[in-house]
Amino acid sequence: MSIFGKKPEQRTDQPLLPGTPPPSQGSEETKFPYMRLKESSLSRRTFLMRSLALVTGAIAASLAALGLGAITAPALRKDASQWSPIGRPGDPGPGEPDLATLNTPLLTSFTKLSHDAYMAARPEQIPVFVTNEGNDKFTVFDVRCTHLGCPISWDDKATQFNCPCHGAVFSASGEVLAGPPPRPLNKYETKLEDGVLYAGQLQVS
Amino acid sequence: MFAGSLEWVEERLGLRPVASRVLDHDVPQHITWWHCFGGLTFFTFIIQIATGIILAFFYIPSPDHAHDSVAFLQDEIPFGSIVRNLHRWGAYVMVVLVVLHMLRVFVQGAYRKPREMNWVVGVIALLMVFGFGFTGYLLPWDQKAYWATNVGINIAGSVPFVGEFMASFLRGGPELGALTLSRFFSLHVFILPLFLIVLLSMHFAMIRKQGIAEPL
Repeated sequence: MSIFGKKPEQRTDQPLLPGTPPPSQGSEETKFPYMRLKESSLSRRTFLMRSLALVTGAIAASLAALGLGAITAPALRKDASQWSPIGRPGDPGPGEPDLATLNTPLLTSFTKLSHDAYMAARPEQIPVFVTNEGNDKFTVFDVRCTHLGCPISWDDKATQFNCPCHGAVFSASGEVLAGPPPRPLNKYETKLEDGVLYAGQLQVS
Repeated sequence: MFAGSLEWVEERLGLRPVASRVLDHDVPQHITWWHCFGGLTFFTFIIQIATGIILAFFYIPSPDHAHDSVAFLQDEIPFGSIVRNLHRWGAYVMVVLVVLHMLRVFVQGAYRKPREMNWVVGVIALLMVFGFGFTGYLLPWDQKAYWATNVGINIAGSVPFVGEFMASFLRGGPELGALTLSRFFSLHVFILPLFLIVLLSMHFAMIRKQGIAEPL
């Protein structure tokens, strides 16, 4: 006998030694009365098969849950809401216009850090029109026309925004006055904190 | 609701005899727990395929992004660290199991006639498993991965006559860098799995045809 097991056992229905009476004949149940599995019609074989299927299924289901969870999670990520500084109303930096004393929309820009999964955050210049509404209230307009995205410009004489592409006209508050745009100008979320004006997410009107 | 579905398919395709031919077969009485290691190795291989496919959803084989993409999966993605560590520990376990399997076959002399060809196929498959370990180790592209691969390639380079070329081939040139990473990735994800699946099919077909070796 090797360390790895035994040789096939002697068949017990053969006499082991000459003269030994043969083992009692009979069905499995008469020989082993405690093995009454047949009564419930669940054989040992079926039981093992079902147990194996259950364990295999559980492993497969756990793997599938992990995998589906991992590959679905990125779909639920939100654009990291963050605030980008535009300026300090009443305390402008050298050479900058004071946002607190604006009386016409000012074309300026802020730097937004765009995040793309594991890529290093990339700074992006976002051009905007900033309007002083008084009482520390500011409106930050996206410069893209809501028709096809051309950059609008401020017409000081007519006090309106003009789009060069298809002749669209927006009021100083961003409403459509003429032309094909379907919606008023888009605005950025704003907040004033510790004297700094911040732009947040783009609000599509 | 679906109670009759199996019967419905069975009535049309008659797959039961096929399934029973593949899954249902007699095993000799002398089988021991030591005979499980081959099947367990195959089981870990399936785990490696499943988790590897998930990792491929996130991994980028480029020096600029490899490490960041692995770290992103590990730290930011739900279950990411579990999937990655299943793959990592699965690799260690697979090597241990395949070595135990080989030891059992060796000690029992199961490689003897008529099973010599299956032994040869098994040894090539073993080398493939080591190849998986070697190429996969580089992919996270951290210091340990880089220098371990450096050492491994230098060992290949110490082979007389052809070593220099082999090392250069593994690196994809004189320096260990972008091309090394992409060719290790390709070997790990496309070449080795394909070859190992073919070898294992042969391995299993032969054991089914020849049966499990009789004990010593």
